[in-house]
Amino acid sequence: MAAGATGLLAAALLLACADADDVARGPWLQQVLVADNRPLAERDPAQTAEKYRKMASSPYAFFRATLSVFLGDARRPGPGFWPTAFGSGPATRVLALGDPHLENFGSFENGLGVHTLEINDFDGATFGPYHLDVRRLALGVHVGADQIGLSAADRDAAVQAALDGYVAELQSESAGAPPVAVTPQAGFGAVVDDLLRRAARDGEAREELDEYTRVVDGTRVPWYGVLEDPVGGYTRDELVPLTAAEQALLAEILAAWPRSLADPRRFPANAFAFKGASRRLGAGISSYPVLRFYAILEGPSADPADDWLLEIKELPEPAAYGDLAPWPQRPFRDNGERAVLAQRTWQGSAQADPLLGHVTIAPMAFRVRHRTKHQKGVDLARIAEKLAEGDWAPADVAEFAGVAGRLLARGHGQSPTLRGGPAAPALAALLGDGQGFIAETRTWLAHYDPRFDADYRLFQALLAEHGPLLGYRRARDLVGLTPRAPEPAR
Amino acid sequence: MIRPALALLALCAPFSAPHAQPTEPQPFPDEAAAPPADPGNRPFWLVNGRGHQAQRFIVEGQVFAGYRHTAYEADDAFSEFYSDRMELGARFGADTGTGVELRLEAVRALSPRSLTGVDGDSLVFRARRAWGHLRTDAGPVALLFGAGLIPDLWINALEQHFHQRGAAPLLTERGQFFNHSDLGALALLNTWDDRLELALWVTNGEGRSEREQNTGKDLSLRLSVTPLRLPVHGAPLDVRAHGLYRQGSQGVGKARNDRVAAALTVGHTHYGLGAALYLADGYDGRSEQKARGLDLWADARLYPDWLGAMAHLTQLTVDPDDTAATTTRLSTGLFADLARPVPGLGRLRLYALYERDTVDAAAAPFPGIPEAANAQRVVLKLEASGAARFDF
Repeated sequence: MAAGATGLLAAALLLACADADDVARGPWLQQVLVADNRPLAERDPAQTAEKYRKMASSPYAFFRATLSVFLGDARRPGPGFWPTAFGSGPATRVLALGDPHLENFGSFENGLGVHTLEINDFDGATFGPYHLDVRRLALGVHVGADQIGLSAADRDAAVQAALDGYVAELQSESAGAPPVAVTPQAGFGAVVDDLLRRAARDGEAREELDEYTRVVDGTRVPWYGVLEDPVGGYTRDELVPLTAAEQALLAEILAAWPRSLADPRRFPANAFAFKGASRRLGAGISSYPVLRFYAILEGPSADPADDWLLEIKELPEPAAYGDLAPWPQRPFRDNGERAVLAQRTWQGSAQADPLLGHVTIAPMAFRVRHRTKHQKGVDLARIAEKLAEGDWAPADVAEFAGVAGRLLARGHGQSPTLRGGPAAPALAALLGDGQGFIAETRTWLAHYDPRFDADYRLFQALLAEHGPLLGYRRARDLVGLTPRAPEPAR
Repeated sequence: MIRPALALLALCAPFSAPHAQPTEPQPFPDEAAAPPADPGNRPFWLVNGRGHQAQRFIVEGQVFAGYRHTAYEADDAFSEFYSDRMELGARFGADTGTGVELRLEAVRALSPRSLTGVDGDSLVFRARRAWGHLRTDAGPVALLFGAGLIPDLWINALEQHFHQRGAAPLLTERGQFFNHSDLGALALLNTWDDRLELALWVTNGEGRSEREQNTGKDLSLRLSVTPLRLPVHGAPLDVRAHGLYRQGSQGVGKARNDRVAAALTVGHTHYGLGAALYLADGYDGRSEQKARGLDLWADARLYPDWLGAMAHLTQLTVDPDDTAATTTRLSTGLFADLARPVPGLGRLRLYALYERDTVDAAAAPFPGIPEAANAQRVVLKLEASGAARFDF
């Protein structure tokens, strides 16, 4: 009762601060988020409610789960609807990433023992206009810089670095230079070097096996429990046993998955022997409620030290591109194929993760990847920590943003357009010296960022007013939405 | 050779039961028993039971399918066989004017953003209309009440004088101004020999593909007046004016979804003419969004038995304050009624069309890149419809 009254009071206070734009925009924002999460809210309302709580925990968390809002604004007159002077027909038909942002970059081991920085999340990839990717990255750098406490000047420098990096890479490639490869100790800055160093160390130590599994009587088995205590009403890191239905589903997935590997014949047949599995809760933000299994497989030998830990992640429908996606609107057979083909294309090779594959058990699609610590994602919390400790400076963040811009450009440049052939020449010709494009993107950002900030506050108000599922009528009565009882941390 | 092929296309073929009475060839979906001189496609719910003293069961079907080749200004081209309507319906009408209708339509299994549907992207059937009605005739006044998955009485009013529906829908439907059908109830008053009609209907406001999302209901009111009815070429030519007001809401957030619309239509057995303007206050789920839509159409039968010409212009402006945010489509061409000589067919019509899409510089979906959406299109399209009537 008290909690309800507090929520209503918070909603009243937040709405009292809302301006007329918020009052008009609120129903649309509410509807877009409900529609975006509707299948998950129907299937697992409790997990979806936790996702909303996690989104409300910070502006960057909100940013990560609102690609549908960004695309909705880009498609219709309103705050994000901004003409570009640097577009063309072919440039609207590029294999776009959809959701580039600083925490969607991570390390990969290239099969030759060399770690590189790559984009690591292709859940939103599809054919579309390239410049929306650049705007999304710029907004992400802006919001992320605010989150880690950079000053306005340092934040703007980071945005500028990301855009400079994007233009420089496209110009470099169009001049015949090879695409950038972001490797350790090669002048890509402290953030990159730190990530790649830790990935090499933890990957070599097979740290993921220690975290998520145990060896009992000489056999590796899954471990269940809480790795990080819940905060703010949502789970952070917890492993639970699979239900009977999930076990059956996983068996079907693992039987079909080897056929989608880039080179399934490079592994012995025994490597695919199943040894156990858990369901991971609390990972991601946009994908928080989706099914995410960790499966232990035999690996190259019978020695439990070289077992494989796979992550099998459900891929829901991507955020709606709508009429931004030109014909043919569905060049991929399913979401698994879409994400995996995009990853192999953008990374230029299948070697970054030889276990990468996809499976469709209609109507669900799954992406399978090696859950190795060689693959470690950029974490803004760590950057904030390093800044606070004085180990890193704002210039290091800007340098990392520049690398992010270059990798985005590399991906666009290498990607085929729907008409075939790489997009790099077409994009480089559009950008010219790049300064106009950068200025246009910054102008758009200055126009849109206040809307983003207001949306975050509006979302918190909507959550307080309409309840844990944002007023979605169908699911709100299905279950009690009390968060799962926390179990003690290990 | 062609007649068996046409007969195969005729959807009435499976319903050639001993008691079936083939319908006369007439524009679809008008009532088979409608007076021949009727200038438009009068809806069956107004003519059920009139002119005959029998209970009547009608099964009908309709397919719009064709081939189109689209060339974008951006030097892309795309061609496909497609269908934008596959319908099968059944209706029963008593001589008292009471009736029910169930109409099914085929739709693609995928939502616009999906990659996984029913067995890929199969054509699956769903309800398009499912409703019952009761009509009371008191002298010159007809009062109709209906409920269920009811037709939109605005679209229906315009389509009575829109003879080219097989080529493409009106912008009023295609441009998200109105839904073809929705769950709700209606009341309609028709009098003065069909010259005055007042319609009121209340619906969920979410359309036929969505359940109710909020506590608000859409309330729509339409007035249609026919001030002019002239005999032309042996048939009446009706000039009809329509006005509509809707107060509505959409989505979980109860976004405003109001409409004001006006239209002037001309209907004759050989001619069709119309101009319709729609203003949206609240559009595409956004309370603050305004939009304006315009339909202009004209068609005429050059050779009444088989050949006609048509033109249709639509303009959609999603932000009327921005003069450079308009999307225009011009569609023009010829149509030929191939099947009039074949008994039992409602219509078998072939359209040969040229279409041009023009997008202003600041219009969606690619503001600043109109060449990505500007396109020219050549369309060959078949409209096939048929019905079988059972009187008992």
